[in-house]
Amino acid sequence: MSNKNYSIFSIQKRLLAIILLITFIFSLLIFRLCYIQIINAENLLKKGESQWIRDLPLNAKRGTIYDKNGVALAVSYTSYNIYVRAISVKDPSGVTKALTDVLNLNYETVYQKVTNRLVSESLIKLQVDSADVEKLKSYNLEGIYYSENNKRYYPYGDFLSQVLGYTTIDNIGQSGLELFYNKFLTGIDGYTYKQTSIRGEEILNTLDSYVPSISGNNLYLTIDYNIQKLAENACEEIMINEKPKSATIIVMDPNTGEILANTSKPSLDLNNLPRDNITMLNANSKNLSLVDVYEPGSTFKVLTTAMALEEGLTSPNDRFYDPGYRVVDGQKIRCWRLHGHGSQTMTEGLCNSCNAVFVDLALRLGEERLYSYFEKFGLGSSLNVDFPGESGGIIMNRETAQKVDLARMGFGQAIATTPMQLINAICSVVNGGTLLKPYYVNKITNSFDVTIKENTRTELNKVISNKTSDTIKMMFEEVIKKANGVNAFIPGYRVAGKTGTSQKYEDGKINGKYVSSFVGGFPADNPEYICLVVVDEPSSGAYYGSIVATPYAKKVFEGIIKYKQISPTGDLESDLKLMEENITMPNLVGMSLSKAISTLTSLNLQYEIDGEGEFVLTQTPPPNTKVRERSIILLET
Amino acid sequence: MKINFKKVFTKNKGTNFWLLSSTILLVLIGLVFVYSASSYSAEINYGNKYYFLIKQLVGVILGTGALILTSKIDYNIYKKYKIPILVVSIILLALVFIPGLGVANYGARRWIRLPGFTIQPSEIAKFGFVVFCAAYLSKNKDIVHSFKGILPVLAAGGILCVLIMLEPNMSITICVGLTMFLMLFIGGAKIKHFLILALPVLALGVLLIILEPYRLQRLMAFINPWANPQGEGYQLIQSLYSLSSGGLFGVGLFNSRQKYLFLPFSESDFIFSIIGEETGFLGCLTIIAIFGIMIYQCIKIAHNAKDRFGCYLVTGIVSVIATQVLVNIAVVTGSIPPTGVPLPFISAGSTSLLVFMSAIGVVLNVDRQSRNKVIQ
Repeated sequence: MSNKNYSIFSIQKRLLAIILLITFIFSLLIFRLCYIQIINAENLLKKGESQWIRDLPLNAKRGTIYDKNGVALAVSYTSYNIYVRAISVKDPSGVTKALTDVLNLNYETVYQKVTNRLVSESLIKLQVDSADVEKLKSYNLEGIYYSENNKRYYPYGDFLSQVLGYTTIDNIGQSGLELFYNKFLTGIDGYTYKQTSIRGEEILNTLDSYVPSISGNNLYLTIDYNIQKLAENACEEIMINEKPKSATIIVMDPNTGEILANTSKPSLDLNNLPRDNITMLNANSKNLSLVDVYEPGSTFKVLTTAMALEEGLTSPNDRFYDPGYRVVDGQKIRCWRLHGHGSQTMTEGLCNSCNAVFVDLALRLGEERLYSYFEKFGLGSSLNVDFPGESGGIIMNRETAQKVDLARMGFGQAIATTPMQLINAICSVVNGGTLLKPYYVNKITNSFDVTIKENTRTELNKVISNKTSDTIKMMFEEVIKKANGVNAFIPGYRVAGKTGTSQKYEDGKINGKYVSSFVGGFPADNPEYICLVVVDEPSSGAYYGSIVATPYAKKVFEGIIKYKQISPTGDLESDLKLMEENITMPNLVGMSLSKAISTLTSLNLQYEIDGEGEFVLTQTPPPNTKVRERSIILLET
Repeated sequence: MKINFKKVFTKNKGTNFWLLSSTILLVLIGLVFVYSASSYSAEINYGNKYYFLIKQLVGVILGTGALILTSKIDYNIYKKYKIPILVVSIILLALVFIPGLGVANYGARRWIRLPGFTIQPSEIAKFGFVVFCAAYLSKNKDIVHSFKGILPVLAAGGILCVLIMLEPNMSITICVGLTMFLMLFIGGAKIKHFLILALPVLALGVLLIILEPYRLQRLMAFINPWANPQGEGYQLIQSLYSLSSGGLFGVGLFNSRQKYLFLPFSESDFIFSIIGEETGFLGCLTIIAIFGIMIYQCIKIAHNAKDRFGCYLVTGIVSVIATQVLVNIAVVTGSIPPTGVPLPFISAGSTSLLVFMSAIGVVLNVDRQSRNKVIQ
């Protein structure tokens, strides 16, 4: 009995021990819970918060770039990718029907995806526009998911491409205006803070905070879509006909500094960038008008003339004699015409593009005045155009410039400018003498189309007087009427202009390549449009500016006349008479050059000579074709 | 030292209201939290947010039936079948290794596939072992003082532990081991035998860590889970986030954020974290209190059992329940290395629910018989 009692007591004791043990462990665990849930909770919570809340960015739409009249040139649009999560689909046939109806897809394929529970989600369609998404949403079906993408799109593709520039795929400006105005174009992203599951799915019935995005600002350019179109087409034609390395066309309003059109070829399709070919991407996206420099050649003579006139160093009827060369500092500077132009007036000198005349003018001006005019014309330093990477041109150091260098500068060599600098200086010459700042953007508006910034006419320097400007405009027009600018002549309209053909130097030597150009505008008495055409290394035979550049400027002018419905101001009848093709081309092949020239002169025809020979080898156009008065005949010797 | 146990274990007249009601309460709480914790993952994985709830409901219905049944069966019947029960347990455990029958999941073979459902033999085997121990120890009460006397228990426990370990299922092995020690303890085994036994167990533990180094990594994870937040430490960190966001009062029923796939096994082994998140420290205390009542009632029943077998049987059952609850909460709170143990009556899992409810039925029967004894 006592044994049994002992045994029972033992069990009781041991049961109590078990109770105490369990109670003890429970107490420890309760303390542990208290520590985790109350004492240290805040610490742990901080770490936990980040995984429960996801901020889903609401991408702000990048601003639109419009031309000056509101034609959209660069837009952002939102597209959606549509997914189906089979396990969330309540009504497979309804979902399939909605998807196939709205998105025009095959029923069987979609139904298979809608019911495929083996995968968590299936892609139904990429790049669906918002209208279709709205339609789908109106069905109110469960299991359809949308993901949003913002994409930059250029409605005209390869159009104004170097000027517009492009963005990264994340919509950050990379070049051109997209880069320069990036901070304006970029909107402010919004956010929705959402509690999500580990997969990022939203948890229903949780309180979200929503910060809407603000769209980027819009740019209204100075570019006129229609004029740009003309320039693009003309440039394209140059590329086909003249096969140059590159071609550039700029059209400016000389009275405001607005850049109306600006293109270079080769260019690229902004919607289909060669992102994996960096060399090609960089080369073709470069805005040659601002980044590249060239020796402007004869087009520069207009500026030299303006300087000399302003300084009273010459007048339209001032006489010069050209024996075919000038000797400066013991160096012989040749005129382009081997035998010289003889005695001529200033105006004739400009028409003939006689180098000797401009050597004289440059030397009359002297280093100090020449350099001060360069500065006033905005040459040698950047114009601060609203564009990234603008070059300032190259002018040799004033201290090291020899007389012979100054002489060469007089006719546009030994000095390099950007095409933009040249056309802008020309603009100042014809607009009454004021150098303006060229610009691409007229105004910036916010997403509610309220103007927040406006660019207007900005005067940089008063370079020449109105009187000088008037005089030079007159002379400028003469070039078109009487000289080799004739290819820009438009009956009934007063066009002024000057061609340029400069030899390219490579390691200090002439390499047989040329930069051919034309700069001109209309109406001649008060120009509203100035156009510069630069053809770099034409390779299809002819290289004279009058042949490879001028006709394309004329096309742009004609296009502008048609587009702006500008009525003729000149004497249309006499102009048309000038255009009549009533001269039969004589056969000049085999003739000595001097005889050929006198024949052409007697027929009131003009000429360009290619080669250094004494006899005519070929002629363009061929014998017996009908040509009009003052046509340019190309002679190869 | 004389303690008046009559005072500690006061007797209730009628059925044991506290044990039954604590069981029902835990099962109902389980249903609510299984649904709350699993609705999202069930929707994602099975396309039906009630998937686990329905399975659990089936378990509750079967469990209730089993509870009523076992509460009516004279528990002394189990004593006669101690050997067949042990053998069946061993066979069931062996079956998981037969391809086609055994189901592997998460790198372990713990389930047997039967038409329509799967069962987890280790859940059955732990109670089989309890029956065997209770029967053996009560029958051989006079020789348990010797080492030889407890050898059959050690042998049976050893076989079961090895089989469960092979699945592998470390946590249930630990529970069976702890249950074995508690039963030997209550059966009257000598304290010094435990110390002798502790040495090989310790050696075995070291051996297991050497054989499968991932166990050591798990061990490290428990000491500093942030050392490897995406790997070993992930689950524990998630569990701690759950508990901490619950605070004192919890984020509210059904408002857990961690159940959105952040916390794996949130409806089973880590359901206590979700309870802690949704109902806070107070909710956790409530659950622990209910388990406390249940364990206390069971021990009281064991004490009042009309015979030694009944006493040992109930002690074994309460040992299984208590060790699992303690291990589960310790794991969830990062107090011991993480190991997957379901929380009895609450965690999703119909085998577990069925077996635990049956066990409660057995305890109720022991209680009923001891009551009859008193009345007589």
